[in-house]
Amino acid sequence: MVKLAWRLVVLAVVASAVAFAAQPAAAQNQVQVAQVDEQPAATGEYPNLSGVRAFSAETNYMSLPGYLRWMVFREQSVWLSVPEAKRIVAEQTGG
Amino acid sequence: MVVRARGEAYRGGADRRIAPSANRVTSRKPSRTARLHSFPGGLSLAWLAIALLAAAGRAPAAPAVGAHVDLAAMPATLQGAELTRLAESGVTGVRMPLDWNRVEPKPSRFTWKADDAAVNAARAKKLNVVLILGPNAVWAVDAAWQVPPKERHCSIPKNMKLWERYVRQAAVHFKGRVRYWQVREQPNARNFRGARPEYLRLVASAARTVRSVDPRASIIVPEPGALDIAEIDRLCSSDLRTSCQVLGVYLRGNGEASKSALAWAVLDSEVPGVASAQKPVWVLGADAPILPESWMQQYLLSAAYHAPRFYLPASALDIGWVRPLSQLRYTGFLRLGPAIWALAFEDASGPVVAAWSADETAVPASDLAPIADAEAVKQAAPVGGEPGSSVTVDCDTLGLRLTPRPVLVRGLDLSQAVHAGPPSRADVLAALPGNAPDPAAPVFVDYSRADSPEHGLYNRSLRTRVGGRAEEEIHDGRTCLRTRIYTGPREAELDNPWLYFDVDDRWLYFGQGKTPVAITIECDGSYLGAERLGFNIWYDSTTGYRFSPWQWVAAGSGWKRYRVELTDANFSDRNGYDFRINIKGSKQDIWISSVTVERAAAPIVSYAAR
Repeated sequence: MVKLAWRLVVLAVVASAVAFAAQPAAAQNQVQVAQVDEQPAATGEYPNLSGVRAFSAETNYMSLPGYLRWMVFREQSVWLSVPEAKRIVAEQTGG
Repeated sequence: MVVRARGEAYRGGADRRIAPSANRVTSRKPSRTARLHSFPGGLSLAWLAIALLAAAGRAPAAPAVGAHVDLAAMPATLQGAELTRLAESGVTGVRMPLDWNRVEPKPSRFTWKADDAAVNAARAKKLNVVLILGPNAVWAVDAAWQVPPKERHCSIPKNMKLWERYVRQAAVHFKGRVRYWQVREQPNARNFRGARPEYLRLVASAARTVRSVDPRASIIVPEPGALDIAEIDRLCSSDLRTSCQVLGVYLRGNGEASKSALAWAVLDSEVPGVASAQKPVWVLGADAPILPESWMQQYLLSAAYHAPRFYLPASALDIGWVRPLSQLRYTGFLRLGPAIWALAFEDASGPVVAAWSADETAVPASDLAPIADAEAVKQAAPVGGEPGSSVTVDCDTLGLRLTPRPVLVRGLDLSQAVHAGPPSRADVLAALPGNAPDPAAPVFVDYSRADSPEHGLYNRSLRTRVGGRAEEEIHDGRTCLRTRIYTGPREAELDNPWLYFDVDDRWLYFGQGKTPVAITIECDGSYLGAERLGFNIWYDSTTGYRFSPWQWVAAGSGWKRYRVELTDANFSDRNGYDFRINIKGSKQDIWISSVTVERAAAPIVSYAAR
């Protein structure tokens, strides 16, 4: 049991080292980092997702309603319900 | 006193001065007020007003000040006191919600007691009343939508019949007492849980219903943004242009005088939907709470563009400034920001200069009015302040201490100095700080350049935006912009997949898709392999914000360049930026060494055609 635990620890260390090596070396050379409070969210209409492909990289592999909910939450800190998001996307896409 | 031929800070615009003999202004184009004559609802009144103005030979009056307040929700005693205060402040009207939940608390059960009392009390004080249709009745929301109870007032009715019944009952009940009806309060993502087409249907339905009851009634359609001219353009180009009679706008936040002036200038003369329909533009409030001095600045700017009405929250009203400023009649401008503003007015006492500065600063009086009269300057005071309290004397030079609260200087002879008419786009842009980028050359960010790393394209000022905390980092020998993507329980706090950009307004502003642009992004390849890193561009277009198609970044190290061409770009500073690079959907961060925006010369394949 102890041996297994040690193996797991060693594996974790190796995996971390590999992941670190995969990062570009210059990644730690930060010269400027913005450290300020975020401004209030934009307050226009909801994002229009017509023309965006669902379940692809451009929707972060989410459905269109799911992506709309995510975007609205990021920008407004408010969750749309799933049925609401479906309704809004249907209106936007004419679906 | 030093006399100068013209204010030094003024660097552009048409030459429009007051004729010295007449001491009157001849504008190069008719004012919005003058253009009201072709607006159907105000035909005869507008002609009458113009005739009276012409006969009197006076500049158009400052906007009538109104208060935004929910009188019906107040106890009767407070309501009376508030109305007295408003009337004494110089307010001429009130704008208040006709809360659907209050007048129809249960389906088909209408009760008007509170709103009747409020409307009658306001009218008794000679205040005109604008009623806002909304917010939504919570019982009218479809339960299947699962809207949280506390958010249902922001939703929409489950069917249009419910909405039309409420609107019709209201129009019938207040016919003859209320002429102006607004449809919902600032229908943005914060206040309106619905799609744009759903909002447009509510407006169209309300307009049809109200005007079927009272053909003299006017419908106010509010914009969702903050002086969002692109959205206003869309609204006025939609079917609503014929069914709505007044356009309502909300102001930007504190310290945004230049941005507001630019939006006003374009709205006044270039937004086709507004110009062709010739709709009056009313200020309905601000997008967020703003300081008293900002209200004053915005009021003076609105006067310059002849907004007929200016509403602000009752809590922001102060007799100390509403009374004196609402007596002013705009005659022209002396100097436009960004640091120092000076607009020219007249009132019963004669010419008045209203000047302010974003930060407290002392300027020679001659900087504002080349023919500054010492005795007049010595009486200068901030609005509501003691005469002379804004005067400085430095080495025998008479100066003015300018602050964000406008300073009024009365009695100056402005005949040689004033540029007549509202400031145009060129006037406002010419007054912006710094050098204007060459319109024929690209604008770019390249943080490896020691000089001018942001040349007409800006990201640094936008790094406080949600999800946009970009970092500058040395990567493979270049100073790059990098993202920080994160997925997990602290995503809202730590995930920064967006790089915001603002194109210099002097290079491109409200292009209406007539100027195709190409955005070239140079970035490092994907170290995780193919289809692990990609991006698209979320940009301000003629149809609102939209995404460009997704672009994968090639695998392997080395710098890659990607060119995204946009034929429908309409960069208008909406929400304070023009586009953002989005990498959400990628499995790694991006290191961007440069972003370049240029005018696309040749016809390009349109992404707008998707």
